[in-house]
Amino acid sequence: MQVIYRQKVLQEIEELMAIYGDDRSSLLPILHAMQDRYQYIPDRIIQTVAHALKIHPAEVEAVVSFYSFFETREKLGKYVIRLCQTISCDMKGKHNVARQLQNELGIKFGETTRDGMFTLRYTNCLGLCDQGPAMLVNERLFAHATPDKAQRIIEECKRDFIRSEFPWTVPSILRKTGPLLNNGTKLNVGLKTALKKKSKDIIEVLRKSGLKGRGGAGFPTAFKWQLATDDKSEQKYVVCNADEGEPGTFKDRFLLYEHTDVILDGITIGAYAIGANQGFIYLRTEYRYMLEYLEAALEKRRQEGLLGKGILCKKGFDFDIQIRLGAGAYVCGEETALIESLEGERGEPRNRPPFPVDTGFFGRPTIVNNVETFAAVALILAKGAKWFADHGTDKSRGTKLFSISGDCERPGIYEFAFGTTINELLKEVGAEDAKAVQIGGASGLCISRNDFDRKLSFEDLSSGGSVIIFGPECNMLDVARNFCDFFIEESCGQCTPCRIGNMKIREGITLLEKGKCSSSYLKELVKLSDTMHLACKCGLGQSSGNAFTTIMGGFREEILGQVLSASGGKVS
Amino acid sequence: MPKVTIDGIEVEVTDGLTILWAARKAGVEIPTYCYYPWFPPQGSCRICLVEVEAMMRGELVKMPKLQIACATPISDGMVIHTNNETVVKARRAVMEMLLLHHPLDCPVCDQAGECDLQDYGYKYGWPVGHNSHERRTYKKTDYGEKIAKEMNRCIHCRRCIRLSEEYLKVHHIGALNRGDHLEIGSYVEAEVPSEWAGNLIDVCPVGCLTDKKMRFSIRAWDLDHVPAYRPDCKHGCKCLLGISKGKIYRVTARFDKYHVMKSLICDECRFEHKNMDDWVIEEDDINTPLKKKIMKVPETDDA
Repeated sequence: MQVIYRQKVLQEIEELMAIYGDDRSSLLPILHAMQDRYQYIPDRIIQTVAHALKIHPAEVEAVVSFYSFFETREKLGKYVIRLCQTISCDMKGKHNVARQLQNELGIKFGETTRDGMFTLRYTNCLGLCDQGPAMLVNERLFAHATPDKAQRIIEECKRDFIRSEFPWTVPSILRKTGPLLNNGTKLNVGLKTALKKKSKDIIEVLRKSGLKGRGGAGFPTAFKWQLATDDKSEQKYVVCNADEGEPGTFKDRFLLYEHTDVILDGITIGAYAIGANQGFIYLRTEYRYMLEYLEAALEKRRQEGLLGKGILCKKGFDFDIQIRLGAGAYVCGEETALIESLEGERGEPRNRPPFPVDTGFFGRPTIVNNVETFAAVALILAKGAKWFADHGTDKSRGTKLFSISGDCERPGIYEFAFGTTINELLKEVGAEDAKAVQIGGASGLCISRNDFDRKLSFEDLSSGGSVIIFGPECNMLDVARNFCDFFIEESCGQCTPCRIGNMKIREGITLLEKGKCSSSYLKELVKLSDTMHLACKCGLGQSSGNAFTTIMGGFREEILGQVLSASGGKVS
Repeated sequence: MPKVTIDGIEVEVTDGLTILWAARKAGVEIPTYCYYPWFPPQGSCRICLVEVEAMMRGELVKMPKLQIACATPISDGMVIHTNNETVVKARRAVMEMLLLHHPLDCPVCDQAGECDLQDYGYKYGWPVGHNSHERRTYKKTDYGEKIAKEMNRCIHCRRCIRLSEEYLKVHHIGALNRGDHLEIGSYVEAEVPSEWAGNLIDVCPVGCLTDKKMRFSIRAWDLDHVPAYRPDCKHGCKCLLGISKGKIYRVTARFDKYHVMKSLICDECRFEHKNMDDWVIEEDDINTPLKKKIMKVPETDDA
């Protein structure tokens, strides 16, 4: 057994604190390093970390127990196999892979093999929904997993991936480009143009372009930045939200890989506009394999004078970007929860107001924007507001990347202008026989055939870009259950309606599956999810009932029919 | 000073106040669990939801979502509904959810009779409930010799965490895990190392944290409450004695009319002195709203 020496751990922590700072915000990076080194975070390490950061072990334990990628009880195996359990992978035969993995290793999910080699875990959305079922083995990503492939992967783990038959990583599939991806601008043009302008002119350009936040909520970017600019605080922050946790979204993964510099340009422009000197990229830990690549990109920019002191010889504009890893919590994609997580706390959303634009990271003005928003900002500044505003609809300008997965012929990343109808989209991806389309991932709406003429736009169907297509064979109750399980697992547990409401909905789904749910009770459950929409504290809770409500609305006949067949047509 | 209308009652309140306090000024009751005036509002219990119409560019605009009264600041011309259909429905739902996992063991609970969950459940709850699943239960843990902890009764308001962090300056208690498994626990299940730890009992709105020394000895409604102090106490704690037939069953802090502690009391006063000789009964504390209860002076003449 590995002995953990307190003195050695303390020394390691101090080294990390030299990099990340000695305040509370370095807690998560330290815990990540400890988890890597010791494969779990036992009491002894919790105590030592607490001692080093001068906080109480209970606070460290509270944080460790919040994030699903940290383990306190038992040592994880040398290879942690995480199988994606979200709906798109579920539809592509996740169950068979799961069964085979269990058979091969002789353990169940959540367990570790006796020899300490393998741990099996489920995880939520790995950002490979178009190429599912997806598996993550430590930091290696595998697409299109099959029972046979699972067995081969295990064999390769046993020889430490020497002469591996699998590629190091899985490239994204880009199906359709548009003005955003086909921009034809040279590198850093956006940044250079921006630095020639004044802060208020940059915001004016963005206002004219009509750019709205690409994360899904659609808050006008110019307005957000304006609020942060107006604040006279000396220290401000820019945060790039790369916690792409929404099931069925994988466009940020593509952007971060393929258009890194555009995004970094965007972040730098944001910092210049609001007067920030520190930026963060909050990268979800499921995308950790990108960390090294992104760090290298940052380092390159530092050498080129695009980051650091006096960017592009602009006196007084000092700005640097740090990458912070999440630790497996979907709720941290909510901006206030993200800030809490950056501060080294449990990722629990805050009350709004105050908004992050005036009271954000450590109480300072902070703008949090989606990866795609930053990319759009850089391109708008390079090509002008009109170029952007010419596309899309009146209220939703521009084009957007959509991550399309599920039962269709050509899943992948598509760039569509806002205002595209679902019918047009389905034609493009080869899924005209689709029964339903989930717009906006687990927190989005399930649209049935009758509404396929609705438009993808902020005024109609607003989303972060996730589109999951359900074919004619798909059982909608399974879909509802999968989404509900997702929310139960990912709820932070802070506010009552979300913590308990989702449990109650799942209970209702169980009743439906058994054929024991009366239609009056079903009606009450739908009302409950409407109440959750009104009453929950953050966006996660508010939208957690959406899928259930819309599925029950659109497929009532099918589901109640299932009820009858399950009960054998008898009324009991 | 901004003017707001709450359920048709117009009040003028100081700027920066929250809806909750404006309502209190107007004499409108809004239930609260996680709100405690000592700490910044947390907004997690969602029982204090109200519907708000706010002035925006000269027009009264209804806010799309319900707002929490405890944290939303008022602005001039606001119209607030605390009792319309939407609010009542949401409140009922929250109430039902809070009671969903609650063991409902009121007959053997020491908090019964002065429990916020009982009171609000009675006032704002709904007699119809659906419960077909197993209740979530927790492994039994303890807070030491003095405080009895029954985690199953917890409603996750986190007042205890905030009290211990911000006033007692001990960080032993924290929220562990997430989602439905959320648990309020202490690190390595240790006793809370503070001579003020007993105040956690008073700050808990439900029967999760109760006085171990008075457990199962008397019902709360059989007690007479008498303000008293102990001359020997080095902190000068202002206490409230729970007396029945000349015997002290418990000592608590004094409360204002919103059931908020007026001050902390030390553990020595709370747990160690159950003899009437140690205490000096105060004549009549004008500030004690409990005086509206019929207060019997104890039969012993020592006071």
